[in-house]
Amino acid sequence: MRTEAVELSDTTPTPVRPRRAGAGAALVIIPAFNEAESLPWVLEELRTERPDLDVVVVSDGSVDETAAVARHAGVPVLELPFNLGIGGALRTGFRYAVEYGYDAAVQFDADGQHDPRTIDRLLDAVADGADLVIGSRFMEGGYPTYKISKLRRLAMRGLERTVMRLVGRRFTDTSSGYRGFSRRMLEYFARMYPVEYMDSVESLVIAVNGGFELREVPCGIRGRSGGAPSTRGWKLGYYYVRLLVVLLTSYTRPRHREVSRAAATNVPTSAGVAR
Amino acid sequence: MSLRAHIAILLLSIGTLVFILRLVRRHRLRAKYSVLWVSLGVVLAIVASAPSLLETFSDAIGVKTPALTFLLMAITFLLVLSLHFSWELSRLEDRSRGLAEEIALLRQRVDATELHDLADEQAEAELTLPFESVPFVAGDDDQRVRDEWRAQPREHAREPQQQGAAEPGQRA
Repeated sequence: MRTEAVELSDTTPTPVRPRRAGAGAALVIIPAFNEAESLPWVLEELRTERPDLDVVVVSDGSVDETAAVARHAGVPVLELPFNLGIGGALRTGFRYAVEYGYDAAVQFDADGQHDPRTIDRLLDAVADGADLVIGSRFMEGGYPTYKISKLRRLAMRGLERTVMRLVGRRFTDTSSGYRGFSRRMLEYFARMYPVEYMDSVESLVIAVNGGFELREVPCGIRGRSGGAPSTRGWKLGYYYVRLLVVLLTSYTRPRHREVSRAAATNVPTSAGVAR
Repeated sequence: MSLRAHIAILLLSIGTLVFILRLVRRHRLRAKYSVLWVSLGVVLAIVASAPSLLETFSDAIGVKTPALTFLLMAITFLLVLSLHFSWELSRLEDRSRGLAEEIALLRQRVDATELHDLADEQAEAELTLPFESVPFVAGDDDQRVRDEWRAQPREHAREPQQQGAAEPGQRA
């Protein structure tokens, strides 16, 4: 599966070890599932725009050259042995960030829909004391418009309303894949990030319940450069219902249960695992 | 229930018991499940051998037909069991997910270590080889000879790189 790495790596020096920089260092986490096509220029753009940031690619059981492409670009790769879904890939990234002592992290898409020039909006908010910063597609100040189908929009509106009722405040974009995390948030999520579909919405509720500070900043997206939305039609409806169940249960879940679940996952953190 | 039905159920339950015990003995079934199934077999055997018990129990909970009581118990048991299996599956999935994440992190660590050992070796080779192998020439020519030597293509300095580069591929 990784034989192609041979011919690639002989042209490149591969500094795959993270810099382990302490205070102030930020990590860009790129979950990628079969994104070998767009990944090279996404990484290239990140390197030219933000050479100061460390990057890690989480290859979520990809069967294409995703991992090889990232290695070729000199980026550390976390290669999951099978597909865990976006939630699992992210949690792996969070664990990596915590392990190597990064102070902040940004979740960044592998398909090029996010602009590296807007990363600072997220990181600035984190530096300003926010724990979870959502790069909203629907706030003013981003790219002009982001168009989605009527049904999708309707589903998102409904979701927004549900979330609003649950957490007691309004978010314009609950399912954004462009977010910033503080160290505290990373440590928390490394242990209990929701691993099922629609992780972003559930994680938002979890973060609010955990007493973290959430903030939204406008960050437009550039439209999908390739591929289609991951889910549509009946399947989306099914996930939607499932999500409602998850949200309601996660809201009523007592705190001590979360701690015991966290202990079971056994992730080393700087503070030590709560037991 | 007729006598023949009772005998049939009795034989069935004894057969089940024997089968379960055999599985446990061969370590094919975890002890925690064997307890469950053995007690089921025992309950079946008791009901089969003493049908009056079932009738008494039916009267107590107000069900007129003992057979219905039996069915009710069976369905409840199966429901609880499948719920338990769902729970067990979720737990297993959590664990295998955790392991997958751990593997990814460890693999990255191994890659990084190997590549950096390699880089160190290369750096060392670059540092030591030229000076050791440059022929000694006294006088002003010294620097010129060194420069010439450096300008030559160096086959031997490349070797470790090629070897190392092949390694990640071989492990796949």
